[in-house]
Amino acid sequence: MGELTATNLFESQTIFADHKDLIHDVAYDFYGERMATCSSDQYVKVWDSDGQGGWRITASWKAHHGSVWKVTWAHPEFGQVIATCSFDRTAAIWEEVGDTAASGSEKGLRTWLKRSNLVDSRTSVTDVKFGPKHLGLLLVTCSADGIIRIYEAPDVMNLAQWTLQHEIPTKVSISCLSWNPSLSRVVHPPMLAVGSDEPSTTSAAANVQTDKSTACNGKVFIYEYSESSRRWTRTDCLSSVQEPVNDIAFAPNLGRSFHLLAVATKDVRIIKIEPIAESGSAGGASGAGGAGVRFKCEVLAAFEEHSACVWRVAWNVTGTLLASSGDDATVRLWKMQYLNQWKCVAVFKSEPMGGESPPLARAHTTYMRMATMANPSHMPFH
Amino acid sequence: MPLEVQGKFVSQKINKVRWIPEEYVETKCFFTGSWDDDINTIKVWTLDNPDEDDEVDYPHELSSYPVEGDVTQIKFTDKNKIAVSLSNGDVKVLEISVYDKKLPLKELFHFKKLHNYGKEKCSCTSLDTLEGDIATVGEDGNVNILSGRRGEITRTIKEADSCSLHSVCFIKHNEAITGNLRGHMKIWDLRSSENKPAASFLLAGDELAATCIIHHPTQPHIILAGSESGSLAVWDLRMNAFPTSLVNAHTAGVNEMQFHPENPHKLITCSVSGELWEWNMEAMTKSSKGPDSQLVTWMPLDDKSSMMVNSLISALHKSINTLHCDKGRILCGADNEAIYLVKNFKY
Amino acid sequence: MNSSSFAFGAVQDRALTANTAKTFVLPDKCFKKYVGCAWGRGNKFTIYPYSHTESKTPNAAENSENKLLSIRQDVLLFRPILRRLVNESNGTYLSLQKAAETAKNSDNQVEFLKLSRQFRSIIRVCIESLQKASEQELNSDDRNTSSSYITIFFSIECIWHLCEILFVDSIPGDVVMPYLLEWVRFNFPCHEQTAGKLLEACERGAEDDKDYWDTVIGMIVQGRVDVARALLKLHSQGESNDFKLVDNSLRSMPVYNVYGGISTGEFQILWKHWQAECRSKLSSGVLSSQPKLELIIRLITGEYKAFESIRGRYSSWFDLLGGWVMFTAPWSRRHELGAAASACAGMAPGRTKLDDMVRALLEGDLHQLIHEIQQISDNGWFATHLTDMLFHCGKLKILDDHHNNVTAKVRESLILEYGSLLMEHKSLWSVGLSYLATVPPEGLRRAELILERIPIDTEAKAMRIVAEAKKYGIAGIAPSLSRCLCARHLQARRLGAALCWAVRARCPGAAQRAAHAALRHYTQAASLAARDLLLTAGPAVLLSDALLFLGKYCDFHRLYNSREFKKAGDLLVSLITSKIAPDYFWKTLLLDTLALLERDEPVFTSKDTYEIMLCLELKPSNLEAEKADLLRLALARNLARTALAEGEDPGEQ
Repeated sequence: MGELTATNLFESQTIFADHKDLIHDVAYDFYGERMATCSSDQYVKVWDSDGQGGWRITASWKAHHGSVWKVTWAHPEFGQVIATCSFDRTAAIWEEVGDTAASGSEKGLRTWLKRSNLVDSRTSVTDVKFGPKHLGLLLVTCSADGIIRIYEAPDVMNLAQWTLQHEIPTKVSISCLSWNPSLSRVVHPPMLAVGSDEPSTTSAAANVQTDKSTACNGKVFIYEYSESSRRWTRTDCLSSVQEPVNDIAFAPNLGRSFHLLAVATKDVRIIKIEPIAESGSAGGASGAGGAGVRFKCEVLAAFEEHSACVWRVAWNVTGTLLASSGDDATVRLWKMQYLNQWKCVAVFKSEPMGGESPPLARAHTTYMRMATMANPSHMPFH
Repeated sequence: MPLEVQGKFVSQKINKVRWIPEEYVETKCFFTGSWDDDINTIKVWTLDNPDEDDEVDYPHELSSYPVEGDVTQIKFTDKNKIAVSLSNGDVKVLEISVYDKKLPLKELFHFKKLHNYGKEKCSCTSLDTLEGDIATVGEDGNVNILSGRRGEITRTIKEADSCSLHSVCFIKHNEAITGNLRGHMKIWDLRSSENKPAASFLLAGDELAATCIIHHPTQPHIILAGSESGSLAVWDLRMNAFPTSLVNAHTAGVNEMQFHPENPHKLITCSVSGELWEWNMEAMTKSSKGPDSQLVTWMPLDDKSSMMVNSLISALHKSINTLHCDKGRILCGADNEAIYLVKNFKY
Repeated sequence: MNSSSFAFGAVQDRALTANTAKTFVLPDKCFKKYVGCAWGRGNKFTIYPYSHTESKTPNAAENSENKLLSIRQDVLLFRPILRRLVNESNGTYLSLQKAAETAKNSDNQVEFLKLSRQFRSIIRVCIESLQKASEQELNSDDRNTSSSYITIFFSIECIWHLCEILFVDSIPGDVVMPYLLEWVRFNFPCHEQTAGKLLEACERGAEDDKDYWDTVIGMIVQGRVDVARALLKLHSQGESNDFKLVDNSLRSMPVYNVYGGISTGEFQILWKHWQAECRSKLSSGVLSSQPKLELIIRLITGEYKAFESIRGRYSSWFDLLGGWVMFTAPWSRRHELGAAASACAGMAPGRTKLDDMVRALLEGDLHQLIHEIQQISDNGWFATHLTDMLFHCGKLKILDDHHNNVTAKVRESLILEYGSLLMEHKSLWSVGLSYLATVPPEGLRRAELILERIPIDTEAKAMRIVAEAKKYGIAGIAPSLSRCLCARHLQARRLGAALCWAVRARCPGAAQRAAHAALRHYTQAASLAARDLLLTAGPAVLLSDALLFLGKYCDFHRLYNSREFKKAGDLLVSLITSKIAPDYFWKTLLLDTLALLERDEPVFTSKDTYEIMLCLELKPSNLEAEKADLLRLALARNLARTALAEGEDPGEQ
């Protein structure tokens, strides 16, 4: 009997990004058919799938006067809209217009217009995310000076008009944020998680106060919106995360009573956040004042395999696989097993130095099979 | 002999099946057109048993013709020529060799981006043929009349509909009927140069799509339309009241209908709910002036009674997209990537 | 005991293999330092050279830092030849769920067995088509791939068959030996052809065939005693005393039968007596001149060394398993096979994945079995379907470390995984959906997340997705998909389509947007979009006030064009007085009155005229001064003549 496991499990395809400087973010649209990239060269590029597995550039424009940190897509219900944020202290909203008669449309190039420029921040805007669609057209930004801003477009047809709804000072440098995607507004009030990259050595500075003056030196904060008071309140601070946080991501909620939050810090963390029943579901954030504890938080996993700083974490559509990447130039996939354990299921790493390298593939080639690096069980133990 | 059903899994969702007519022998070959796959194909199949130790004939692939987009309709313009509509907006006229069906299909005409949103793609959703003429409809709401012989566009009705069109049927040489996404039916006089319908009416109040339209083989003024909701509407174009009757039939969209070519009292329908039904339409017509008279009125249908409808195969878990009858044999193609051959059908 | 320590080793190994993830080397030396990753749809993601700081040296982005790597999972089941298996087994799976539903009230074991056999026949068809394809394969790489698939599915067939015998089939008295022999004969056919050939030739001196003795021994270990005896008779010395002696032993072998009317105990006495007789023949040394015959006697008395000596002739120990059980403990019940398995497995060193699986199965360790089959590269097809089958047969019990029963969870997670995988395929999404729908609520929630992300390139696809979602009661899909299509058409200024999808979405917001776009379009292009739609729209126009206004305004045009001026005028006035018109549309509305004011017959009453005048002065219509004056004049004139007429005929008031 031969082997029952085939070796080629993944295929790869190289795309020449053509950015003149470092790339900071790559984001897929809702359908996974379009991809936006942004870079320190101040450009944003949009790539469209050609339906046969290839990617074709359809737009490229200078979007900011500084490094573009993040790019993100709005839900397609609001049209083809992206938001970017930059070192130049602004965030911008861009819309693709259906004007196919414009110059360049022959070559398949599309026109993106800047609909709005959000200039409220006085420091670098470090992250930008559209809110879950059932809340309307919302946008949240965070900046290095620690202010979270929530904007709303009251008329989704008019992307030029954004009103700054909330300004939440956190007093620490904020590097990343994530909306809780939970659809059920009744059970879960609108919720945001933000991560701070404040160095942990200066513990005094990091010792921030929650709204009700309970000290917490964690680096991940949960904010919730209360319908009754119409404001966002910090309802929790995850004390389990003490090191600077680089990325943060809520998993899609599959109708569960708890939320899963992935955190990229010195390791990969998966944290279970479960609202505590007594603090009331209807009252929402109001529970923060009285009892103090709104959530039961549990670190489900903390993986140190990157053995270095972890930079990004990303969930797949159904929240069953988490990808993490770090300083060690590897990407790891984590998967939940049926007994609620998380396990690494694949590791992607660059060619080890000095290894024989296959010929450089051309840009826009179709997918190539990817070889495994021998069977790990046959490798010498070190 | 009892009804016999034989299935074959073909690794593609089949959107259209068509028997290839034969002059003197029993039909053996048929076309399939696939949809919803990375690369869709039009394939030619034959029924045979290469081992000859088996009593039963099985479909074997003779040739495969890849197309861009989904195959949305296949109709014959001639005995060995088919017009094919595709979801990339193209229409092709293809020919199959009379002598050797194994030979690849030959492209006679290719109408590129016949239906379009300017530079963007738009699906050509259906077509109908009549004596070499082809009427095509698309999501752009346009109607095109093509000559299948000369390969030209003879007429375009621009923005025939403000919504997408999903079905079309020639009523007679100069008249066609179209149905749109909302079940809005329009009759077009093709001689008139005006881009206005000669008549229009709604399929049903639910504003769901008219997915297919056919006319009665011997009484072309009787028009049947299938709805996205699964119901079936019948109109007598000589009467002003539309529609004559509306039957709640399948539980989900009607995909295709055909009157049996040998017996116009038999109607076969298939649906998204995975059903293949035979309707006895004899009960639906009553002759008011005796059998020889032309004047036949259609009984208003209430609801399908068990008397009238027979299920031909046990319901599939997936949509049956297409059917085609040839005497006692009915071919159908489904979303479970299989084709089924129903044999010993009594017509 | 030997076997248990072996099993312990396997468990340890399970823990080891589970913790080692496969490592893949990225091509092109893309990334030297930091990398980032982003998920697309399905198991597709992109790896890119990531930097969290602004570049210190502008334009220093090296070539290698400028590549994105798009990665996707290579899924075996998406190959056309295996898509048949996927689709066909989907039908059987759904039938099984239905059967399980009815089994809640009544025993449905017969139906389960039928479906289990159906699964096996699907696997068989799959193997045959793979074999055919592999024969036609010209490229040696592809042929290797094909043959590795064949290996995979042969193992699957073998395990499924054994599972069916041990857990699905109802076996009289649980005496499994005849079934086990059948399993060996079916999955490991050996010498069968030679035996057939020799018997057909029916010639004395069959031993001239070089395979003669192997065939005879083969028939013995497969339990085909009759065939073996017939073959022995064809030996040129078949009539000799030695042969007769062996034939006699074979003939007199007691055969255990549940319905044989004797208890196991009584049978065992018979059996031991017969074995003792055979052994005495051996020890008497009468057969010492005939080593082959001696071997037969040693085999049928269940001598371990004899079996061990022939083990080398067979590719695996499964070939010997049936014979071993038959000649050592023919009364073995289903759950008593572990020892036999470990005995047979111990006859030769080395073991394969399949060995582990069969061992686990014979030892009744289904948890281990499922764990093993999850390692097979069939994208979970086998694990999902087998687990589901065993679950419904009530034969599965899996406990976690805390001894909680997690059987249902294991089954559910496998189905979720398998269904989600299929849903990513362009064509197989509907198959995947039908799996996810069987494991609510999480299955439906996952299905919804994936369904709404399926790219929609045609309306036919949109309608099919909506129909499938409706079938499983996933209510959110239809409105959200329709709203997305509405937005797409709006962006491209296809107003009719946008209105149509807004109405289909039953979404007031979308309807409002589309209607405003149509009204604005009219103010710019002076042509009314989607007239056909609006005039037939029915109650749908009530979705939003802008749409209602648009519908009425469209009706106004219809009345005007059909020269029903009075009615048109009344409608126009009602549109003006109801004040639901958007600000940008006032100009249009007011100018529309002009045409009616200039008709010979007065259309508006004096009261209407006052209303229009009021709006002209109060509403922000942005009417040019010249046009406003013109309108004022026309209104004044109309007021004059209507006031006169109304004065003459007070009854009309």
